[in-house]
Amino acid sequence: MADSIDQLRESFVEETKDLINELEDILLSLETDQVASELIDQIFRSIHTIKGSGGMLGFEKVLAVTHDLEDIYDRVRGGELEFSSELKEISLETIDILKVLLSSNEQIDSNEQIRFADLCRKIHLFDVILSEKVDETRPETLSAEIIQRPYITYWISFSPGNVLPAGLLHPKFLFRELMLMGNGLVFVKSGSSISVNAIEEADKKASWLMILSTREEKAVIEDVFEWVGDSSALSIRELIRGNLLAVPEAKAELEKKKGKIVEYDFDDIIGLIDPYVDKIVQETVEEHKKEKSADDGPGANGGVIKSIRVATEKVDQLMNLVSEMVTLQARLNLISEQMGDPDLQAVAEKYGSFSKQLRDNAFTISLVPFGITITRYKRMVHDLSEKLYKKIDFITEGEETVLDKKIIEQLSDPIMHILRNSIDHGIEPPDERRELGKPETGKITMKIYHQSNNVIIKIIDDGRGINIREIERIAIKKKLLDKNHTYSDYEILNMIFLPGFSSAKKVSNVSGRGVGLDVVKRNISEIRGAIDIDTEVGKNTTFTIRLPLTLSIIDGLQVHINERNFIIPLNQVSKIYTLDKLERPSDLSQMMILEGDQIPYFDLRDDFELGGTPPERREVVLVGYDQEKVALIVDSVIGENQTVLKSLGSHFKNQDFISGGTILGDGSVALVLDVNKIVTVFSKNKK
Amino acid sequence: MEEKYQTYLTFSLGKENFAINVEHVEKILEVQPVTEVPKAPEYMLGVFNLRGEVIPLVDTRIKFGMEKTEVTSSTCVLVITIENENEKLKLGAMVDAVNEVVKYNNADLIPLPTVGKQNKAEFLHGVLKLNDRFVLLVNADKIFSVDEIIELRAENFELNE
Repeated sequence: MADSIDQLRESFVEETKDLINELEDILLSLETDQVASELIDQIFRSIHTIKGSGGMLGFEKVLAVTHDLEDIYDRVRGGELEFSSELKEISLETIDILKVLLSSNEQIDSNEQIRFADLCRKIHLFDVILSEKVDETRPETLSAEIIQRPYITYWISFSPGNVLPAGLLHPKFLFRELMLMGNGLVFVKSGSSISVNAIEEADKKASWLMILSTREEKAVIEDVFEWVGDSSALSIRELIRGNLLAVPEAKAELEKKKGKIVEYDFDDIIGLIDPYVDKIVQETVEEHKKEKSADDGPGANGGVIKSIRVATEKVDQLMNLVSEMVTLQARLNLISEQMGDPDLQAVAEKYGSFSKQLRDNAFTISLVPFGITITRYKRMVHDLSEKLYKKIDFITEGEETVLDKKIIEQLSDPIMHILRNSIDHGIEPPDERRELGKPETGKITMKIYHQSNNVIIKIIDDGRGINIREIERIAIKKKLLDKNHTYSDYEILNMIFLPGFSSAKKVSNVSGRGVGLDVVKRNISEIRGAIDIDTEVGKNTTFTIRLPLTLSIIDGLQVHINERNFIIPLNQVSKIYTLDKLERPSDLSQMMILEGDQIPYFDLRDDFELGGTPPERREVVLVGYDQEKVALIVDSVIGENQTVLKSLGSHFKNQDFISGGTILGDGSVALVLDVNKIVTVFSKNKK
Repeated sequence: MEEKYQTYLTFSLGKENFAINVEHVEKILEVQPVTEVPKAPEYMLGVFNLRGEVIPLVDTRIKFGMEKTEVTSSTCVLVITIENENEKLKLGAMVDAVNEVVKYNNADLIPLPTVGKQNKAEFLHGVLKLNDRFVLLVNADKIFSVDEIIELRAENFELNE
């Protein structure tokens, strides 16, 4: 029992976090937009849901902080008052507090406690002051709103399941809430006795039947039952349009039947109320017309479920199964080719194309739009620019671009850091910009788009740019560069990604925390991505992050070394050569001559200590590493491979030049190489 | 207090007898074809394919400070799940032979002397005497999550017949 309460609370926390993010997003978008009434409606509904469910599950602080806010938005919705920047700030503050409350299960420390109490007081005052302001106009708008929705009488049947959380969530609370929505009659079948409106004495396991005449939408009633769990049976149906229970005869008739009514099904009740229908129809005709137009509004698409929530665990499981199937399919192909039976080959081929489709389809499930995390960036830009007295337009393009959820999560820190950097060091204060003849409001653009099998994220600010000479000076001072040597601007600029390099003149709370761009670079290469920077002094700085579409499937090049299989990510491979004789300019350096160029090389047989004698003819795979090229010497290249990448687990954390394993058609495991790590690991050993 | 009865699976490495809580054991497999991982510690034999999953394989003898395993007809792989820092890890542990499932009562345990040469008590749940032989009950969560080789022999704990 306790479990299911916790589960409910847990799923409330999860879903509310989503709602809050949505809310935050909407609120932040209201900055520049004309405030659209649908958005206000949406804000109101979200707050209403959080309040309702939170209150029911015993989140008292959540309830307290949302209660008055809901009221305020209800009035904004009714047109009584305008959405103001003050309201926006209060709302954002509420969101912050809600986040703290949800992640701490309402156990907050004394500082947060003070913040919480302050906010509640603020909201309450805001509400009260507003009530005074709008008192005269209130009755009119109130009635106007109500007329929009006519009474509808619903038939609500509910039987709690076995796992209904007892104690905390007694069904009587649900029905008490419903009673507040209009005219209601509640029948409870508790053991053998059946009583009318005996909500308080009801047994936890009792079955319920309610006739409710209300102006609320069906969705609002459904909301009340949101947390009852899967094992309970709920049915809500429209009995008739109009306020049936306002007809005394009808009400009396229903009450009279009390004992039997629980045995009545929906149609029986329709029959029962039939004689009284005429009495209510008159009243509803007019209202019905008015409602028509509202029906085409935001509520119209309410019935279609566009997406469902699935636990990531389930998606992972699906991926594993699909990967296993792809592996089996490769085996089937192998066998059918060996057997040479045309019928079997036809089936194998068909099965192959089907499993490819299934694989592609399944992999898209684990891809999510980048936009799901964009709110946190918007929020950060909003807050930080306010704090630093800078004016910034934050523009995002391509939020719908999809990529692996794990990548999106791991991108959060690096992107935050780059944005902080742009706001703190890039964008100039408004007066400085004015003097420079730039618009006072700076611009940070974040673009996300696909490029073949990669995802590109560009973060561009139109700030002061990076002074390459200054970077050079610091790098030489820190002995990162040799002052007697000339470097390209590109090489100098890339110094900022080195550990220990921070050009910030003063240590600010914002981006000078000693955690520099080296961490950004490391974070990104951990998800097999690369970062690049470009700048024009006085004009702009652009960070470009290049990422694989997914962590779990890559195109690979299968190679053999001493009869072992390895996979090199194909997107890093630029050329393959046959090697008859290793030509080296000198015995001391780890360089080889390839098409007349000197190229650093790694003989993987030696580096991996695989032993054996290399064949006379070997092959060289030229791969890209950062902007450089390096050569990997292997015994032979087998061919392309659709690689389903699986982690080797923490037991091999020191072998990080292997990014994972994949299962080949014959069932054996091949190791997937991480080219960047190979270069860093094995170059160090040689020095 | 722990539950009164615990169920363990006993296995042997050379002449030594060990046991692991059955809760850890998912499967017992015959010796699997393994893919070596370059530059891994000697006791990490590599990785193998367990129905589409890539699982590390440990030479338990080396891990426990003995000579490396010579594969015989009784050699097998215990697929076990351990928990380390809230992370669940699955791995294969190659052992010389799997013997039997035993149930024991906490009262049957022989206390470990605390004055051993090296204190490795944290890697054991206790010691049991079965048919006049000592059986070391290994703490799989601990021993399979550390990187070092842990020498585990009855004599190291100054247990005498």
